[in-house]
Amino acid sequence: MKRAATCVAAFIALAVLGGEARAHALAQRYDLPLPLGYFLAASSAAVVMTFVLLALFWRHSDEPIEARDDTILRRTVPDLVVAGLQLLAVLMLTLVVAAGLFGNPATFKNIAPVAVWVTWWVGFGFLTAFIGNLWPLINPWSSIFGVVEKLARPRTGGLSFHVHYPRWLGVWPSCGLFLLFAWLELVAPGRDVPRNIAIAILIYSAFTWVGFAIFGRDTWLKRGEVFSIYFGLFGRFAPLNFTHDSRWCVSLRPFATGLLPRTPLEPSMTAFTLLMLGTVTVDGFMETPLWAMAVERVFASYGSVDANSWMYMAMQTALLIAGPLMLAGLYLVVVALMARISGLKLANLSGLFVLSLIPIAIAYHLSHYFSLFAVAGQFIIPLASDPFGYGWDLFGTTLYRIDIGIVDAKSIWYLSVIAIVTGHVIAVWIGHVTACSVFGDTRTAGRSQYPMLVLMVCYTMLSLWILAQPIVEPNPR
Amino acid sequence: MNCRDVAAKLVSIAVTTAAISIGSTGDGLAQTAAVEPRRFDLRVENGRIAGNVKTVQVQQGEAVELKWSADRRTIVHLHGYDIEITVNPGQTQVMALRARASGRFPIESHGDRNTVLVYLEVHPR
Repeated sequence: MKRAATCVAAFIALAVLGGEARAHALAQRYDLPLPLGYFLAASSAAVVMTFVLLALFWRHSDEPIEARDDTILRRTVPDLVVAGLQLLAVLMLTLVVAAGLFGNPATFKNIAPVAVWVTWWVGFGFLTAFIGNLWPLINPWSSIFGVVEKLARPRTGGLSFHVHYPRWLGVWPSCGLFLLFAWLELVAPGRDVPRNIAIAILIYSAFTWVGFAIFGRDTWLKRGEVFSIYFGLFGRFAPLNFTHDSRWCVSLRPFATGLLPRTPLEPSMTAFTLLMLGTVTVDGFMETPLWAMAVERVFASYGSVDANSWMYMAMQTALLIAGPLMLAGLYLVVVALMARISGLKLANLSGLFVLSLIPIAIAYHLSHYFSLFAVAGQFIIPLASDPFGYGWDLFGTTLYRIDIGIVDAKSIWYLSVIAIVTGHVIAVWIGHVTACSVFGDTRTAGRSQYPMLVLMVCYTMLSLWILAQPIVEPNPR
Repeated sequence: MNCRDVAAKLVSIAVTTAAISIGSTGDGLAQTAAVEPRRFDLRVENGRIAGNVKTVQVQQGEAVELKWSADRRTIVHLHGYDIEITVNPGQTQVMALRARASGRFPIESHGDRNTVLVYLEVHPR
């Protein structure tokens, strides 16, 4: 416990010390707000589709989810491919840490910030949601630990103490880590400083390996390795599903069928999901004029304070905590209403319906980050040739110039509208299939879904509203 | 009419629409190239933009000239297009660009503190 506290303190101290870098440098998006026409088209389509689907679903009942098998195809992944991907991931991690520690301190002259925040966090996130979650297969911390354990086995008989992991602890450690990570991503000044990124990775690596050593690798990957949990949730949407028995297998399934809950999620997992959904929204909300106005108002009443000051950070931190809490509160109210309508237990229902909100979050995430990924993601091209910023030109791409016009604003608007409406429809569908399976009869299922549909429409509208806001940075003085 | 006919018709409509819209944007670019640039006078006073200007709005493909003046030495940086100029008091500096890429780009004054002065909005045609 004490060690964890020290780690957290070090994390925070490092982030604060690196404060001379500009906030938002890397996360800067040049999106135009969604025009009113698109906003109205998308929101009315979402509402209309909700009622159309409701009318369609009313008539027929679905089979129980436990009995579903959505697998279309199943193949084993060749060991050589697995080993190759694992090696690549370990090399990438090493490169990022080395570049962060020893490379050029300027954000865009060092591969670490772009590789971590854009290529991995956003790009790998898209890959996970829309193609398949490769993380369990390539997780570099897991593969390094695995190799070391294999080498040590003849002498020590394994590196882990396999201490019993208390059931009540669930994925709460990951909830804490995710909140900390979200804070580092959205609030911490100096998050674009290569050295801070490298040190944070080193601390997290040590933390993860200690977790592996105490509770065993498999237990910790399911409980405390926050990225395994995060990508695992996103990956439920994807058509490819990677599983491991004695070898790695990949199966193909229709989009989003992985979100149908076979069993209720544990309370801590429900909390993690709501935390993730909440932070996705908070991320966008922090760039709206409404938020900027709130910040400027508060600052105006306290006189002149710098934008990087503790007070701005405190406000952002408060929002980062309040946002997910508000969502969780609303969700619990909705589930309580559903429990009242159906007469089933709240605890069970809350673990069953939370996954149906994920498609809305994924759709918003795509609309929010696609242009950033397309524009800022290009920095990886010159940086690949000169990862340390020493003036190398390994692949002859150092002089590549970023094309800010690579995606047109209109394409982003169309993408946003299509993604948001599709995400909403999928969410309604998942909610309905879940309800039919849980409640048995279609009538109760239909009635129980009304509160949930209201929440889904609100969540979708909030996403659309944020996309229709011009991106502004608070300018307190 | 069977499903395949409908699909074929939809595809042909989509292709035609796409072709027309691409064609028309091409014409738009060609026309504006010859037209006078859009000019804006912007002044920085006390570290902020004078007047109540929040955004400068132009159409994609237009030539744009932002003429800057300031009450003290100011470094002005247009993000995205990545153009930086230094404005000294008593003189003007022009930021000239062709608004090729659509989007909303912050223009900041850089110094010991970076403040957003105004946003350049390039709207798609």
